[in-house]
Amino acid sequence: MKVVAKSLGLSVLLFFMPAGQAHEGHDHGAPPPPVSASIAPRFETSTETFELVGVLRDGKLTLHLDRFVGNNPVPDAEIDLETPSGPQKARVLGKGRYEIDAPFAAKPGPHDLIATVSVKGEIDMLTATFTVPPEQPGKPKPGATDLAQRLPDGAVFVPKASQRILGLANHQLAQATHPEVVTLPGRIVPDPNASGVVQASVSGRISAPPGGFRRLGTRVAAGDVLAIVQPAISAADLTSQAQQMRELDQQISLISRRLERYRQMTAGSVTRAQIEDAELELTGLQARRATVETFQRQPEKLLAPVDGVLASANVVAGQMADPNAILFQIIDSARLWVEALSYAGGVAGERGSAMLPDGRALRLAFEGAGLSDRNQAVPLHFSVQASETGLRLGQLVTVVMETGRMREGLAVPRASVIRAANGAMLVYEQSNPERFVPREVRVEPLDAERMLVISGLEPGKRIVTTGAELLHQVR
Amino acid sequence: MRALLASLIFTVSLAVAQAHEQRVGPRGGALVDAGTYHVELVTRDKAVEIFVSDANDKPLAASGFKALAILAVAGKSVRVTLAPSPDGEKLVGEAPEPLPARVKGAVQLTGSDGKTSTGRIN
Repeated sequence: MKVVAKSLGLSVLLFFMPAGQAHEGHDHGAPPPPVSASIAPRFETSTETFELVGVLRDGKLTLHLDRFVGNNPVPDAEIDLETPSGPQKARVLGKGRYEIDAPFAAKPGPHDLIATVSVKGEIDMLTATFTVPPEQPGKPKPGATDLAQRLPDGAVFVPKASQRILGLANHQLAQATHPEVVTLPGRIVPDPNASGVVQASVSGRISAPPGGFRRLGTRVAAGDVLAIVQPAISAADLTSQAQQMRELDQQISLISRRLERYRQMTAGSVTRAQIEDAELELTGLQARRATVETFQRQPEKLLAPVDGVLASANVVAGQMADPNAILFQIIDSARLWVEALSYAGGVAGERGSAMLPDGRALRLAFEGAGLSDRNQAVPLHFSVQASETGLRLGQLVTVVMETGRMREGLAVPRASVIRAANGAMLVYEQSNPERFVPREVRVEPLDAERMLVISGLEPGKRIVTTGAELLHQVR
Repeated sequence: MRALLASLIFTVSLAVAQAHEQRVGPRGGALVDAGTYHVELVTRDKAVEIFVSDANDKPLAASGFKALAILAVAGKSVRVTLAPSPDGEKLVGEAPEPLPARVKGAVQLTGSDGKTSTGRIN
């Protein structure tokens, strides 16, 4: 009991100790100093729902209302602004911009404002202190538009109007458990059950089927005639054929002479059986001669083995086909596989995703792994789950495979991590509505679309996702 | 030592709770910082009362102050102007409709010198 009492006493002491410092907290925090004299006077305020920026130009205050998380403009809000000259309703300019007349801002100094924002039953109050700088004769006047600029401390000031053009969006970091992944090099391969090749079985001259050759990319059905091969007879074959014909001709003339002689001879010297034998032999020889003479091989029709799309075609009319050459390749674009090489060996997980060089991601399902090494790596096969257009065979992809283990951390979209000139990895934190602070981070790949921040950031921070690269270019 | 450790843990848990919740004043109303003042807003049915104290929570006389409270009630905003009560202890005003005990909004305090300060109530 004594311990509890003592601990309570100390707690009370410790708890109230920071109270004196509360005035340095965000409630009493001064707004960020003006960026430069060339920027129009402005105020900014935010809650956990909205972000409001007011810009004074020609006696009018333009208000930019955005969502705190996402940085999306809020176009259909009602804003009532409590100004020193009484309450005012803001006019809607569209695209998240509003406007009020601000005669009170003609007087330099701080002005306290309360904005009541209501959007479809959602209501929020934002308080701000708008400090109008005194008119100074020697100083330059703000221009017609505010320009984004890099501040001396490395942060970037981007006015709301420029943020809309750059399409800046943010993402609030949250601590979460994510599945651990490994990345593997991979490439697009056809699904063996939904693809096929067309080869000629004989050497011969290619001719077009009725209707002509199919164009690349056309859909073909199994059994469609893609080309016709007229088998070519080699010189050696022709010679042996001619030789055979002469031989048969010779034998035919010999037998027919003999048969004639038999018939002229008187009965008794030649038996009836001898004449019949000679007649049969002659008929047989004549039949063989006819076969050799009319011998001409049938043309081979090249048929599509599967349904699909003509992925490649290497034929022109009159071309000589080699029996082993691949003349056509047919794939089903909706059924493609990815072959990845795992240097770590073994199969880690069942699910994964693949990232294309243009940033698109494919969902993958594990199909199987090889047991024999290829280039000191185990080949793994995945099927592409959602059919994505524009995939080509042999296209290189980065496969991100879940290992089955889980990792705790802050996930950020890949687009938000950029490499600085000195090689460091950076993300931009939106510290204020119009201020972005570069933060050096250490990241590890999480999946095809996200990275895991290992150090350098805390949960709750807002990180620029779309447009981070453009933001980094601001000088 | 055990007492110190226990108190530290207790303090940390208090501080965490405090970071996310609206502070409550001695009269049970929402306590907010407005400029260099601390303001406690108490709503009782239609009545709105504001108690002003300095940064060290020492109560200040309400005479000389004016106040404006903009409060969110049932999806719309209610604007209440407050004037010092006859005894000078607090600022009082009346809302057009009954208010809940916990209300979100903002308070603007105007001092005798005309300087204003605002605070937001979560």
